[in-house]
Amino acid sequence: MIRRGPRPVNVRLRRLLVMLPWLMERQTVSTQAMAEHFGMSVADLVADLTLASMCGVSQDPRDLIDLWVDDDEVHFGIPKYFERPLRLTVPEAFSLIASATAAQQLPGMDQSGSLSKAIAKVSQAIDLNIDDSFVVELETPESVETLSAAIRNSVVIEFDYWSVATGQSARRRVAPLEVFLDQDHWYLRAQDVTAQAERTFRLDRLEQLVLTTENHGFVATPRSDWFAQSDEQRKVLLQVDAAWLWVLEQYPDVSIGTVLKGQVVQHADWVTVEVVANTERWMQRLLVRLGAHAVVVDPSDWRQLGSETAQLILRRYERING
Amino acid sequence: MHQLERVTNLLALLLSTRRHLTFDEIRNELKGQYPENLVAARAAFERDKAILRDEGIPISSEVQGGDKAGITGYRIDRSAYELGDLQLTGHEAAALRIAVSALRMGQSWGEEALWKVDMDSGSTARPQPVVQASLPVDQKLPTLHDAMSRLRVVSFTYNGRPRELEPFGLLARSGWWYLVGNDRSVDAMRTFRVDRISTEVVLLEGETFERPVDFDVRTSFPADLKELPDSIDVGGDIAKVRIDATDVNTVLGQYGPDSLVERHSDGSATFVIPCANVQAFEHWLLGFLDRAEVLEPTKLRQHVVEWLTALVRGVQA
Repeated sequence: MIRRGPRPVNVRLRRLLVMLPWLMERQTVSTQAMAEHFGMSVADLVADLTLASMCGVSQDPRDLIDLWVDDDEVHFGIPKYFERPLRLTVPEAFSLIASATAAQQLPGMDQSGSLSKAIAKVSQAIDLNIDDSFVVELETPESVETLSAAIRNSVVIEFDYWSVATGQSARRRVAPLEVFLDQDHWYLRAQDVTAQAERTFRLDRLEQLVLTTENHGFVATPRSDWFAQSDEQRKVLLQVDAAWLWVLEQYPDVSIGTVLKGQVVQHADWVTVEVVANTERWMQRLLVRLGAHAVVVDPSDWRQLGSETAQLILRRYERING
Repeated sequence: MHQLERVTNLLALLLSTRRHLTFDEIRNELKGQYPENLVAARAAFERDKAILRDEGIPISSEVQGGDKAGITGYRIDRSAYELGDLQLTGHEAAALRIAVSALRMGQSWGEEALWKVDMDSGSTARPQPVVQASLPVDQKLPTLHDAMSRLRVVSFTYNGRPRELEPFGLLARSGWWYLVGNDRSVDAMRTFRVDRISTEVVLLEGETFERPVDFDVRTSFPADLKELPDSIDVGGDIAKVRIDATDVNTVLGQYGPDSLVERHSDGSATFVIPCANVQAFEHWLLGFLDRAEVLEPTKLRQHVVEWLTALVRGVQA
């Protein structure tokens, strides 16, 4: 059984201050519905509301917050203190404006103009000036709109996909589930009909996209950390020239330290870095980008990977020269 | 008594009062809720105030006069506390809900904001947008956004140096957040990557600025880092690069059809790509491994060959 520590006072207070005006608007709500709305358990909800019912400027019953929990319902009486929610905090205002501004660029998100109007109302309410000084750029390829339509209509699609692992293109037939942007790349998450497995595809490696007339019954489940799905994933220990650490800044799962774990120091001022390599190709790219400013310490079978990859690329330059 | 109960009572009291209340008056109103020992009671009161202020609750304090001269009093102005009714229509509220669901920011801030601005929503169903995007988030962003919107000068440390900045704009581009503004320490426009700011961002009391009328953060620095000049001279700012058929679409997506110079019979193509910043250019080029090759300028081609040769020699040494 998992034991959970007590919920912090600030978190409970924050939730209470938005729950009370929400409840006041409705007067009577089922505890189950209210708990779902605020993303908490019924037990925690009832505990917080019971405590709130004992609060007020004095312990005179006429001064207490007028609410009571009865069976599976919570009831609100006469409003006294918290009739409106607390104004948006700085992080809440930022998050709402950033999400809405970014979402405006996604296909189909603001066709009616409702999102733009909502942003304007929120900005005005919190006295924020939104103009050309705040921009979220999401470069959206044309295929995102086509794929979105296919997902909405549960239609099987086909396309040619170039695989980094094999270096070749192959025709794929998939049930599309979700299109998403992660860091700087767009991806399609889909059920591969032939392989009977979920796959993630990079949109810029996808060609000859065709929507079929076949419908599918697959339902999208919440996306897990797709980067962690690879069975090729390996931890790699590098020594890197400190002046070239910027090359690693764009990669996730990078741990930088200065102490070497019993390894021979090639350069005294180099630092130790642990990265999680998703594939060998991924590691090849990283190593040639770092050039002679990094060496692999572990695993030993990748110590020559950078050199071998550099020779592979150099052969191309020699071939043309020859 | 549970601290949450006492803090809630204190909040209710400060919202209800029409005048500032001193600590003694608050203690008297909330009978028995603070410890009898004065030092302990004062410490508990300070902790409660800190909780309320950390939650963004605007507690006004005022030094009293008359028989309470020199003693600080406290109250909360209801109009400063409450979020007004935004009068969102059903469609507008729904659009906001979908927007927050579509953007992953790794924080619950957006959801908590929705609870407040969309009080009318009775729906517990979370919309499932078919298109989703992740935005990188950094704890410093809300403060920077607030300072930028309210024209407040900020201070922080970047690259080991303290800075005082007039934050003109914030831009999310290619997976990173950038802050652009006038760096007062050098009196010049500078661009900072937000995740590299190494200290807390502090709003300087009373320090404000005016943003240039024609400022547009999108055009304030090059969209492509390869256009930012560096100190390596390779004989030109534009490179001709031959890309294998497998990656032609990728480059077309990045640079558009105008960058395409020639298509070859094997499906490969030659592109023109900015290379004023050689490091950024090579970083991009080497991502293709042996599926891309620099044709011109000759000095750049030679630079790539030398880079790779050094790698071969470095590892073999």
